[in-house]
Amino acid sequence: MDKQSIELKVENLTTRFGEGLNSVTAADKITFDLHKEETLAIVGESGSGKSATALSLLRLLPPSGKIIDGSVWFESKDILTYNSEQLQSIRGNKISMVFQDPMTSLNPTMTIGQQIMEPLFLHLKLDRKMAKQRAVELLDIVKLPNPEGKMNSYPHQLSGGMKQRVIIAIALACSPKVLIADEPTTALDVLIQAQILELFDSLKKKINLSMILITHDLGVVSGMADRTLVMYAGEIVESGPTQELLNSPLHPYTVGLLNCRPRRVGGQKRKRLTEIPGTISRNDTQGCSFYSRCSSAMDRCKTEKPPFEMVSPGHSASCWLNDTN
Amino acid sequence: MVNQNLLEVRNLKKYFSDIALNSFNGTKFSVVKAVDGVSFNIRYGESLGLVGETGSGKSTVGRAVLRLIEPTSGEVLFKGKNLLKLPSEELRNIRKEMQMVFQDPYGSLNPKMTVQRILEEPFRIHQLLDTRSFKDRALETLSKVGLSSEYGERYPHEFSGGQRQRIGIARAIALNPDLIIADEPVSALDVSIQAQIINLLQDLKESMGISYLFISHDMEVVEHFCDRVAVMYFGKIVELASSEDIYQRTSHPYTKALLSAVPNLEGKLPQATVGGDIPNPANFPSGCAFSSRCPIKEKVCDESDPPLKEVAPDHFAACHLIG
Repeated sequence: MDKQSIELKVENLTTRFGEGLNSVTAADKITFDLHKEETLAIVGESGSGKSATALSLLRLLPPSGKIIDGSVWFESKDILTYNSEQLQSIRGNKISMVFQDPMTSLNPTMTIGQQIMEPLFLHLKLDRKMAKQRAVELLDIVKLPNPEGKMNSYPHQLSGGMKQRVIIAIALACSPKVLIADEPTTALDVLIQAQILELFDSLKKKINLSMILITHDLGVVSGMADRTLVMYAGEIVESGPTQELLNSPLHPYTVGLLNCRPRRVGGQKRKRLTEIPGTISRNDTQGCSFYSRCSSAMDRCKTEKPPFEMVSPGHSASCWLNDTN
Repeated sequence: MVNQNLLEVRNLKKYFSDIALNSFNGTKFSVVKAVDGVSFNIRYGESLGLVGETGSGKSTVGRAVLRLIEPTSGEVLFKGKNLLKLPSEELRNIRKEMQMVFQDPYGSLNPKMTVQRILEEPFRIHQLLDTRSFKDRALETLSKVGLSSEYGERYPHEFSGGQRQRIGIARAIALNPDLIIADEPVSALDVSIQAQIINLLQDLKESMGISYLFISHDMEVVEHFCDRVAVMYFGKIVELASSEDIYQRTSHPYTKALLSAVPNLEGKLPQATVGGDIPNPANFPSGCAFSSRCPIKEKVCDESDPPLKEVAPDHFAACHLIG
């Protein structure tokens, strides 16, 4: 398959929460392509709009959120124009989603088996016997120990890591083309996180999956994603091939995110961490949204919004520091 | 003073008995050994990190030290006095010298009180000053944590997570404590805010000479912040050494697994060298608690529980296969 062909195309996606003066633009003109068999990471802190973007893709926003502009192209159709029935036929079928919290994503009153078979009945119209066989197979794919026995277990009988494996199995049930994973390892302990990331990595290779990985942790992105988008205050501020973005970041926010982690620099422990001062705010609509926290801010940044421009092939950022004119 | 012990914990145990479960199925009592014989010391001006996964017992240690939960047995010597034997009046008195910072900045501040009032509470409870001085001292504390004094009139819901954690820290330092027990103080915060709070705690350590028991699941944060690190697994300390030694000369296989699972920026996946989960605490394994997941396990590991022994100067590990 051609790696460069596009699986999902997002154009100008704009999502707003609330109405009138109190409304907040959670995702502002988000534009990106997800290539076939690619893992694309969306990185940002709370309030950056990364989850709002993910939820908008499948129109899973809560009632206070509205998509006010944009399109999401999948199989040469715009998903945002679909009626609920058309949408239902895609969700959990061709595009599926894994959420952050494995504790609340499963139905506590249904067995693991019932929950995995549900999409198989709904989308693939399998009979009971075949669905059961496929469900056990799926649990085996996500490396859940004793898959057959686990079919009759209830969620509370499983640990957090095992639940997340079950949730991934459900997401993969109908062999989706796109998997959206929203902070899939954030609620897990570090050893379990490593196991789940390893699982994602092996699945990608095995079943030709295109994946959107949403996370706040640049460390998770590093080993997983081919390309990375960095979001700040509802906008994409930088995008590029993951290793290039981590090694030579263009936007001061990305630089700040990399520097504020307490990791060693050149094998040496640092005396003090480099802070990003202040907190995320959306007040400066006129200039750059990062202006108030930026250590390299110039006068221009306060009044003029920097355009999102390509600086080197495939690597773009919105910052006046990269402006060569 | 530097080499003297501010806090000394000896053979601390906290067992929970699972009564609810047992009254249903009528089997005999099962006991969860949340903390099972933990010993460590904290010197004046030192910060000791306590790391481990969910369920390792690290938070229970923190709470038991302050007697926020009553330990089953053991000794907690604070400035030489055994807290577990102190009458409640004296305990209350000594508590102003040891404070706690909690993980959840949303749940640990009273939503009905102004920040001013929250910060006056410590003085009020310990009846330290007259009412007029309360106000000044509360505002002074606020400026120590980098918040402007005009915030005193506001309520907790008006602040961001990072600001709330600053208020929680202000409350903890109000009475000039010698020891702060910080239970995952930055886990609920965004990375850019984490750095701010860690730097703040470090500044306070230097300016006020505070010692910390710093409880965290984050190996990188602990390495950065702490002088020494204790790694807990299943209610016991399995490795204890200077933070330099823990990372450079890692000894216990569990610590090694924790370190290799830390996400990196080098384009490599974090390694899952250890499978499975923490064992069921009500179903206690015989021998070494880590043996069910250990990659280098041998026969002896199933037979007896390895004691914590010195494997190098000031470097302790509990493993049959080391030293």
